[in-house]
Amino acid sequence: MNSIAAVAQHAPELREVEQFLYREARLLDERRFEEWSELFTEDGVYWVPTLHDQSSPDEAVSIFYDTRDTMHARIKRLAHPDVHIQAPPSHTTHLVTNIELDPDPLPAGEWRVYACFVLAEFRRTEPRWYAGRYEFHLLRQGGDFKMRMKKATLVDCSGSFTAMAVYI
Amino acid sequence: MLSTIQIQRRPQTLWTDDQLHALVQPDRVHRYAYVDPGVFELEMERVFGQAWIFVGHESQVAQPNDFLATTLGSAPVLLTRDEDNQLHVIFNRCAHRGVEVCSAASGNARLFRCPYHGWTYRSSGTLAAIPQRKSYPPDIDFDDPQWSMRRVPRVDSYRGFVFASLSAEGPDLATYLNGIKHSLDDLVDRAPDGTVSFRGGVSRYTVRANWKMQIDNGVDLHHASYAHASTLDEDGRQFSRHGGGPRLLEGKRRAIDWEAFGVVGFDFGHGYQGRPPVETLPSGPVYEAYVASLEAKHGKAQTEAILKYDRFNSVIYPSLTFQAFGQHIRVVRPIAVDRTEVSIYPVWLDGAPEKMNRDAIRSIAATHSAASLIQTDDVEIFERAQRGLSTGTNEWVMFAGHMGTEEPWKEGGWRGLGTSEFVSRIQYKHWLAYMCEGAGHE
Repeated sequence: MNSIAAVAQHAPELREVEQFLYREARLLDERRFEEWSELFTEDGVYWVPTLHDQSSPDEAVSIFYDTRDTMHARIKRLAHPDVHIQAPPSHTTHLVTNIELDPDPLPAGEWRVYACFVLAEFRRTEPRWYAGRYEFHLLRQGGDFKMRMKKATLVDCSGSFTAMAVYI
Repeated sequence: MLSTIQIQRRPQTLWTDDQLHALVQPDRVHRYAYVDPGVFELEMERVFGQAWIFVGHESQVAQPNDFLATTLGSAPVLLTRDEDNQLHVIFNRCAHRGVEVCSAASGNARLFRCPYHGWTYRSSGTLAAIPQRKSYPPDIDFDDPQWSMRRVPRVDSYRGFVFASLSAEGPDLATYLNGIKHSLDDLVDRAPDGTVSFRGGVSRYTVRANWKMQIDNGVDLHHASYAHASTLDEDGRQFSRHGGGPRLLEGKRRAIDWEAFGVVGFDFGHGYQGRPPVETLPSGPVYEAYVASLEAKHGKAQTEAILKYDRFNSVIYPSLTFQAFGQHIRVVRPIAVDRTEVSIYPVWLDGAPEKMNRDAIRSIAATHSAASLIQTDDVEIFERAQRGLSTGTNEWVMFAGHMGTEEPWKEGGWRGLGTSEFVSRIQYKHWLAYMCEGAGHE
């Protein structure tokens, strides 16, 4: 058995990937941000770019670019009594769909997963809607996955947004 | 023929000069300045229609025939560089039927052709060709500027920052900027090559509040302890921006004494906040390489003067708020009385280490994007203020902080204590001068 076949043998089942993505979305919707951040590898990043097909957070500004450190600061802030942008807090529902597993692993052994999302958010008076495409880079760890990257490219990523307090 | 017809402007505002004067008292401003649609309409005509408004940076139109689509007040315009390297700001409107000619955000074009009937213009805005010329009366002089994409009356730039005025009259740009130009120097001098570029894209946020909230805020130092409390750690220190976070609280709750940091104001409503107490300045090999490249060019003493950090946020009234140290500018664009769009551009210091510039691009997501950890607090507060001001239970917005204690300062400005609200008072003095009919501006 050559090495490519060996890797291929370990390709995850789509069903496992789906379950992971649904759980990831549910942790956000349940505001279990601390647990959610644990789904990332230590070098994992959460990224919402301003350009379609943006290749790097250094090429152009991003809406979000959270390393684990930034994530930690953001999540700590979300629990602060004076986080004005979350008073009242957001209720969200993430719909994750069109999930596709790239059959070829990335060079570092991550599995690339494409998906689409719709996010409904309600805070005070009007619901807000976001839509776009996700790209996940998943590493198998134990019987589970860790995210090395979650990239959410909004369909209107280059547009203008009212303040966003919670993860897309 | 057509050129001789003069049409009176649309019906005049219901606001008389006396009523406008009553809106601005020495220590307070009436809520109508923030919530009345008629006031907003007048502001577009008389503030954004007269003052020098930031339209773009020369690096965004670096080559002949480069263009950038933007707005001036509520008018869609193009910043262009023509074939002879001259900058123009032209209205993005066909002289024929009024169609917006160019739909791209930016690019390079020798000619702009209207998609409707093919009228074609040069990058300077002048008319280049009309299909079916013979169908129009022979006495129409198509060389008359009225048949061009018309030029905004005045365009000028300072150190690469391009401003335009919709009014043919008024002070020139240098007079208008007066002492605040040193805040632009503070930014541009930090570039070892002596020039900056806009090359890190743009991030935009929308505020459902009046544009003046953002402008008031840009010269307000002491809101930080309260509005940004959630960004502070147990020591009262803000999470790291460039090179270490400022300490905004002493211990858990007590606001630091802001007075010593000061605020500085200038004629025409410009101003800057003094530097909050940043404890750690940047360090490390990248920063050292940067300092070395500045020293190679300017020597040690001059470099120290350039890197001195004594102004935090600067405002060029009414359209620009920026930080030299934070390496970004924000352009404030009013959309409606209760809606404002703010565009954030990271500023690339030409000649500085690439990593330092890339880090500046990256840091916008933490500090000023629509999802940032700091700006979202301000946006929420501006929107709450807009809601609060929508009712008439209390008619006034108060700006009485340290009334009358500001003192003359260098560069033609005045300096007040850190919690002084005098820069806002200067802004409203000039606002009123713009708003009153025929008053012009001294």
